[in-house]
Parts: sequence; C-alpha cells; structure tokens
Amino acid sequence: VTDPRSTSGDHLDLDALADALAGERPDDPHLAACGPCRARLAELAAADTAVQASLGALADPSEPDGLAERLRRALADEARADAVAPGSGRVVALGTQRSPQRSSQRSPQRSRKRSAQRAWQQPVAACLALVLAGGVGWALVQGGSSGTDASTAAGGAAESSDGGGGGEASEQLAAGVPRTRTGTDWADDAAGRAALPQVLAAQDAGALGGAAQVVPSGPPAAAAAPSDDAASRSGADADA
Amino acid sequence: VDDDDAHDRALLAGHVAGDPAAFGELVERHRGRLWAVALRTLADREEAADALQDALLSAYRAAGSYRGDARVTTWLHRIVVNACLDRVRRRAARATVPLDASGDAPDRSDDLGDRETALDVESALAALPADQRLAIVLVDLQGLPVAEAAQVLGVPVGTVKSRCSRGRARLALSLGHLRNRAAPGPVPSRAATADRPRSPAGGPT
Repeated sequence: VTDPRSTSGDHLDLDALADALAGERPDDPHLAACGPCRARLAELAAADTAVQASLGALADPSEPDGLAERLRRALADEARADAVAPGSGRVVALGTQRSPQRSSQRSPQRSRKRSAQRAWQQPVAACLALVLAGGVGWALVQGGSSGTDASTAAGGAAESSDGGGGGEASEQLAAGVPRTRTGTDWADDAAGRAALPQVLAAQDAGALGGAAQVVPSGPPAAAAAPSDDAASRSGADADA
Repeated sequence: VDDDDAHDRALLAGHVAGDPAAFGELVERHRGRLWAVALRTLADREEAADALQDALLSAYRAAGSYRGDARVTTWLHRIVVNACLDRVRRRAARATVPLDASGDAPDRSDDLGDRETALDVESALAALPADQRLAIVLVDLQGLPVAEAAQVLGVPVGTVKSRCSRGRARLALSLGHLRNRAAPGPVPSRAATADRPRSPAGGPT
C-alpha cells in the first residue's frame, strides 16, 4: 500500500486524488482541510472529463482482413477434431491445451450418449460371449469323446459331426475353418520331412485349393476324414 | 436477462446441445467488441488476433461450464480479458518496445488533427499499466457498467472505479490536460509514481 501523501510534502499524490475523485476516499481528513489539494482535485476532475471525452471520441478499431475467416476456420477445426476424436489427447495449439477438467466441462450430452450406448452394449456382448463359450465348450467335449484326430477345437468339432451326434453347432463351427487334409501326421518329424516336397509340389501345381486334398505317399491317414465334407464345404465357403 | 442476453443464452445452450451453428452465431454477434477489447488491451494486432482466437476456442470448449450467473457477454469478455492478461504477463517477461498504435488508430476522419489526437490517446492508453488500461477499455471504451466490468475483471466495484480514475489521471498528464507540478506541488510526476511500489491488486490505496 502506497503512502497517499507525496514524498515532497503532506499533500495527496495523483493516485490518491484520483481515488478521491472516484469516491473511494470519502472522509479523507487531509482533503477536507487542505485548500491546495482541493484545488488540485478540481483540476483533476476537469481533466478527467476531458479525457473521458477523448476516449469517447475514439472509434472502434477495424478488424484486420481475414480475422473473421480465421476464427471461423479455427472453430470449425475444433468442431471437426471433436467429432473425430472426442476426448482424445490430440495436440492443440499452445495456449489452447485442454485442462484436466475439460472432459467433464465439455458437452455433457455426449457423455450421456456414451453412457446410454454402454448400457445396452454390455449385456449384448456378455450374451454373445456366453453363447460362443458354450458352443466351443460343448464342441470340445464332443470332440474329445469321439477320439478322432482333432488338432484344434474347431477341427475337433468338425470331426465329431459324424462321430456320434456332433450336431449342427459343431458343423457351423467347423464351417468357419478351411482345412486341407494331406493325410500326413505332421507331428511325426520324419514323416513330415518326407511329405513336405510333395506338398510343396502340389501347391506349386495349384492343387491346393479350398476343396482340394493332397494325399502324399507318406504314412496313411490315421483316420478317414468323415468331416472332410464339412471341411470342403467350409473351404468353398471361404473361397466364395 | 434482456432480449439480447436471452438470445445469447439460447445460442450457448444450443452449442452445448450440439447445434453446430450456434457458437458461430454467438461469435458473429460479439466479435467486434471482443476484438476491440483484445486490441486495446494488447495494442498489437497480431497478438490480439491470437488472444481472441485462444479465448474463443476456450469459450467453445468451456461452454458447458457457463452457469448463467452473469451475462453471456460478461462471460465472453472475461475469457478474452484473461487471454489478453496472460499475454501481457508473458510479454512483461520480455523487454518490449513501447507499443506502436499506428496501425490501430481509428480511421473516423480525414482531418489530420483529429487523427493525431486519436493517435495520441491510443498511444497514451497503450502506455498505461495493464490493470488500469483494461478497466478504462471496458468502462470508458466498451461502455460496460462498472459492476459488469468488475465481474469481468473479478475485482470489487471500488477497485474498478479506482483503476479507471487513476488511469484517466495518467492519461490527463500524458495528453496535457493536467499540469505536472513536480515541486512544490503535491502531485508527483509519473516517473516518481512509477518508481513507487504499487498495490498488487491495483486497488485503492
């Protein structure tokens, strides 16, 4: 807080006089008693009026060319960025970075929409997951009981379709997995190495298609492939 | 809430509700006044444009936080003023040449004397301390009521009055409306007052 008296004497300085003029020193004892300060205050009041007149005569400054367009563009960019990546941590110009509270400040409607979407999406996703898991589990059980050469759950399901009541579910699961039966036991290193050239040759010749079967002269198939129909069908489907 | 403010509130609410054109219309309605505040606070066209853009983007994003306690224009002015003050503070950290208002002078008359006077006033205004300049810009140039200016600046009404009066007193000295009686007169020179510490808030002392 500054001393309202000037350093050169006991009179009020310019700021103190200005405060008095603004009505902010209503009961200043010095001002009440000091003739020179009152005279100075009257002079300041006249000058204040003149200054207000000068300020009032100033016209509004003209806008620079392109300011309106620049602002429109900036706001449009902001709107577009919001639409593309709402709430994402995208890079913005210096001085315009989002505050941590921004996500809560901005568009409560959008938050409500997202919450509503989540409300129906979650149960539906849970139901789908349950159905899928049940199907896979059932197929595994069936595949295991049939004792065929299933190497994957889907494959097992496909094998089981003829192996005693596999049913439609397993066929549908098998239909999603194109398979090509070569009859080779790929778990047997020696047999695999022996069969490989033939397989590659067949591939080069275009014999390996979705529905093709390559039967090398290696070890015989451990089991007939009753499910190949299904595999072939699935391969055709996949090609289609 | 008058008709203008009601319309502004409707536009702001429309923007928050997702109307893509609402905020643009709000800006169109007040861009000129906000530009004047930014320019006269910063006295630099480029910086004022940057500050105005920053402020409007902030307002765009923070529209949901508008509580309706003040007029929409008051809220917008406050955001612009804050953006400008932020730049004033940053500029204060750098050594800058006194502001050149030549490009910002009003072009209201062909009369050379009027134009020179306007230039003098603009230059003197630009040389004021930022708090006093802002108060004068809002009250004397933008015509805001003192109470509304106080809301914009976030200070008491008395502080706005004091800042305006002190600022005008300095302008009076600069423009020659007031004699500067250094001694033995009671009013110290501008240099002397500048040397003395000022109250941080710029309020009455």
